Amino acid sequence: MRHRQPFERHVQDELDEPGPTPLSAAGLPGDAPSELLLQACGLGDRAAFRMLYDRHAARLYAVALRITRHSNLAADTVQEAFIQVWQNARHYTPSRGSPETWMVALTRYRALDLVRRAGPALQTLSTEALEELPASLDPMESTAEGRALRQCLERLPPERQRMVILSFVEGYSHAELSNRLAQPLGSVKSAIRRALASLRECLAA
Amino acid sequence: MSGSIEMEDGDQAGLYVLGAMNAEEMRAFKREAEREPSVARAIEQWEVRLAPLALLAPPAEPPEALWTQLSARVARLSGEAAPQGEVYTVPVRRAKSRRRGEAARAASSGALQLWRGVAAAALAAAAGLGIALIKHQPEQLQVSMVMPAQAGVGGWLITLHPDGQIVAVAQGALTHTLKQDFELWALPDGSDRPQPLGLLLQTNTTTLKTGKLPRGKFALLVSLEPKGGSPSGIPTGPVMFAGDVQQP
Repeated sequence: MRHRQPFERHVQDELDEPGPTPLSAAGLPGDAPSELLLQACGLGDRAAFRMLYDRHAARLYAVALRITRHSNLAADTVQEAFIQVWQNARHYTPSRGSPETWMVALTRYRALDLVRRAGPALQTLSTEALEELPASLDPMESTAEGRALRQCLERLPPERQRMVILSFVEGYSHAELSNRLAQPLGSVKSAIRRALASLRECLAA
Repeated sequence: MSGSIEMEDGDQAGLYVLGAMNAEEMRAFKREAEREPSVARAIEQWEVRLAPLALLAPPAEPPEALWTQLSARVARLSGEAAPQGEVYTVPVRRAKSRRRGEAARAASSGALQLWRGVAAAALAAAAGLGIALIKHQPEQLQVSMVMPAQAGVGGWLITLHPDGQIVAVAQGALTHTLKQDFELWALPDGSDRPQPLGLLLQTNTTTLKTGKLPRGKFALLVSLEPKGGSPSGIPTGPVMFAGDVQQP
């Protein structure tokens, strides 16, 4: 049976006025920082959870879709990630980065685990014709951390930069990179390790 | 870049975060992180470093069904049926009197086939139920909804507050909690379309704030629905109670 969210949609559908905004049980406003929303989730505040979803689900879905290449798998991944968020909200600390960083990480690991376990069979089943990833790094300009990472990425030789991006954003493993770039596995592994070391040094500077 | 930069042990964590490992390597590394706090810490640091790469994933809109499924699962995990955190405000005026017969007429005049069929049968069963209207204060309206004993539910004392709250306090001792949910509805006089107000918990207190109660006279209905409430927007289960509320 399909479940609905009964109250919101019914109230909004049936009444002539525009639907009111849900308040969280803790009374958190709509622009409360995600850190606070996570805290509220840890206390079982479902409206705060809804706010987190509204704010972050699109990003997580975009990330999952890029890695899994199937909208159904991406949706499952995001659902599982949000369940983890709900159950582990208490364990979030700022050492994990921003709440979005933490949530994106959860999503990526689930997506990666899914595609890794499914193996080559998943590729042949792919019904999504995802466009090639745009070459521009401009989207990274939207945060300070993004700008810093972008500068460090641009110092890498273009092929290593490409490897880092294909790995993180597209979910390519060493073996898949080796195939795609037509390079021996050993070279790929070595190149990536160097790239990571460079990024680490650059970001620490 | 030449090979002048030192590799660190922590760079292995970078491979993990990057997704460059295969499935077995990832699982092994994850187990190591669970054993070794320094590995877990290295993973965290790489997550923070590489996080902005997520901005490169082109925007994509998740399907609508994602939230409804997620919300239902969280509700089950929380051991509840109702998403209690979501509340709305509504202005309420006090009621003057109630006439049970009028509610029955309003209910049975519905044009919605399915609902009417269910309601008529249920109202007959509900004939023995009582509703007591108690006016405590000018601004408040209290409604007592008593359930038949065999349902194992003691009913609720429902208060409609002028600031828009509906507070339902579960009455009596439960013999067991039903696997279904009780859903509260408002049926405006002359309308055949009940408006859902929310689910009534079978224990303790339910607080509901609905967008708007109907103007003038309306009936309050309680129906027995599947867990999570009616999936269709109108009552699908038996209406256990119907009583009307009249406003000035």
